[in-house]
Amino acid sequence: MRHALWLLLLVALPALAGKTCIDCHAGAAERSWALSKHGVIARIEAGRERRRAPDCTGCHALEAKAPAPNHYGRTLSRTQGREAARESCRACHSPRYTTEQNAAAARGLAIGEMKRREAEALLVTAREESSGAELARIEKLFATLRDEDLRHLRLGLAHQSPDYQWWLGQAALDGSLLRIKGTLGEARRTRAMTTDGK
Amino acid sequence: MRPRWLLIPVLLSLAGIAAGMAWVDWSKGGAGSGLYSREWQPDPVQGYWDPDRFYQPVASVEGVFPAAECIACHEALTPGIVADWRDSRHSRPANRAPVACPDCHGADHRQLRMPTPKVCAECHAVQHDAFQSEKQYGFPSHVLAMERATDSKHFADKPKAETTACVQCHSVATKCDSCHTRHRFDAAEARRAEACTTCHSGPPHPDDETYFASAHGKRYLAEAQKTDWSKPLVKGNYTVPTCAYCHMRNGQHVVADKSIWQFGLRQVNPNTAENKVKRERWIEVCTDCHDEEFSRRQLTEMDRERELAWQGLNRTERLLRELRSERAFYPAAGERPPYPTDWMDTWFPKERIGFFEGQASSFYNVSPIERDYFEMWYFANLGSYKASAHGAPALVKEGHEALAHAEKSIADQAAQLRDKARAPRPDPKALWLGGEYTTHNREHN
Repeated sequence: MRHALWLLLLVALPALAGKTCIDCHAGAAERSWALSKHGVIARIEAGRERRRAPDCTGCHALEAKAPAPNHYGRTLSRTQGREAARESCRACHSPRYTTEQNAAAARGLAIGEMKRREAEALLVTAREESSGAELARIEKLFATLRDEDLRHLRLGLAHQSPDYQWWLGQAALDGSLLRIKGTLGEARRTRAMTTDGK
Repeated sequence: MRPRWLLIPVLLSLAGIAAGMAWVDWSKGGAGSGLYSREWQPDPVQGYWDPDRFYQPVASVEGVFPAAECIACHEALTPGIVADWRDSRHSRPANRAPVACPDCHGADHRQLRMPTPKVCAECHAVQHDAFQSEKQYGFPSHVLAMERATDSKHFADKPKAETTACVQCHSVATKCDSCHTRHRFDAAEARRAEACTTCHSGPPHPDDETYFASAHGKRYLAEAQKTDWSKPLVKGNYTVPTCAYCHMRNGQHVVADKSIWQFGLRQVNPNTAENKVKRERWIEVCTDCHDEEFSRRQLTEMDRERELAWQGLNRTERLLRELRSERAFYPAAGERPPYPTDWMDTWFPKERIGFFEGQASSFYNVSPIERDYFEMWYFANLGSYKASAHGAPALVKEGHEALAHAEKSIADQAAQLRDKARAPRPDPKALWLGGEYTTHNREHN
């Protein structure tokens, strides 16, 4: 498996030549970085010799000047990524600062995961007691919560974007969660009306 | 001689005022900050966002160090910030000794401080005084941003691991490096349009999107890299306006002195005596480049856009108040978690509708129709306002389409709620009061 991945990489690398990260990672990944203070400084100072704030490769390709997927793998790992990227943070930030910011990010993500698990438990209940359009709506809301809201939170925390952490992250998770509850509640109410009508 | 009983209400009023003031003082004396300071414990990172109240110096390094020794150590430990400082005017000011590490952080490593606006004011008094003067305009303003955050019910209520996101932007009140990033602290950087986008972006305040979509923004994008941003923000120095050029006239550290429409948050009369003064201030800015008639027409167009937006918002708000009177919300206020900060909510549950009832906190633990109104008011409305203010007509159209869509969707939901008003009503409490996050939120703030 590992050899197959390396082979794939050797085939893919020429195709990647000349492309920037943003050519493939446009959208939330790029924007959450661009809106962070790092992104703002990097955009303003584009072209200067000394890079004052990290861009994509500044954190995700630490030891390599050319794209090196093994390094990307390490910094993008959900379990080791934050620790790996700290090597880059330390050029400007103190060990205590990076430790506390990382711990805060872990706590923020844990909150997001709690919201996902609460929603997932509701989805399990919905699958047991609902069907048709109501269940489809709940399935769709859960997919938005997991694949968009939680992803935005994760990107916001990793890239230090307040907007992605809050409005597109935590507050969006709240919205999806309450809409799942609302849909499930209305489905129960409709069933109660039908039962009562009989 | 007046009857003595007239003194009773006067004395009672005075006692009430004194008790109220004592209560506010007491409520601000907790571990957190703001009106609900006794309701929450700060996360460790709060010290970096509000250093005056929460920063704790590190105890692991002992000693009193002169600047040269700070630099020698930190050149190895954190070379990026030393290089930034070397590039800054602080390292080589005209006519005085360099402003080095101990000047801002102190020399005793066990008593280090994170610089606050008060520290910067030791040299930059003019800017600091102007910044503080914003208090006269109330909120929205930069100087009151942290108070606004911590005095919000949702800030006090939610786990601090969550609301850390809020204070990253609201710290514009408590540190200067929100705009002048450390350790270069370059005025030229803060003059650039991108400098504001970390906070002025996203659904409630898409300033970045609306500005960059405007004719001003497009020209900025075309010319920014070849413009000299070291020049003061005065007429004639720039060919295109940025956030700071218009909102901080002549580089003054005041952004609230021209705030007519109050961020779009509430309906205002744009032609009060005070707002007429503010309108003239805008005309003065716009006529740096445009003729006066054109400038006045733009402001009038904005008045029309706001009027139209508020017609729809008022209709929808009236509808929601009617639903509240009819007890048609499902779940109702008493069937979902109250704010732990508000004992009135526990005794007299009431759905919050509109700005003056604190709807800004009503984006979670509410029924879907209330959240939809929150998004209509806070996202679609403010998005339209920003587009109108920044001159992005396509986004104004988009915003008003979103407002119309939300109004119709809310009206449809209201009709369904009314249809079901007399129907059997399964108790929604189990669904709304339980759950992993909901329980955690109730127990952690």
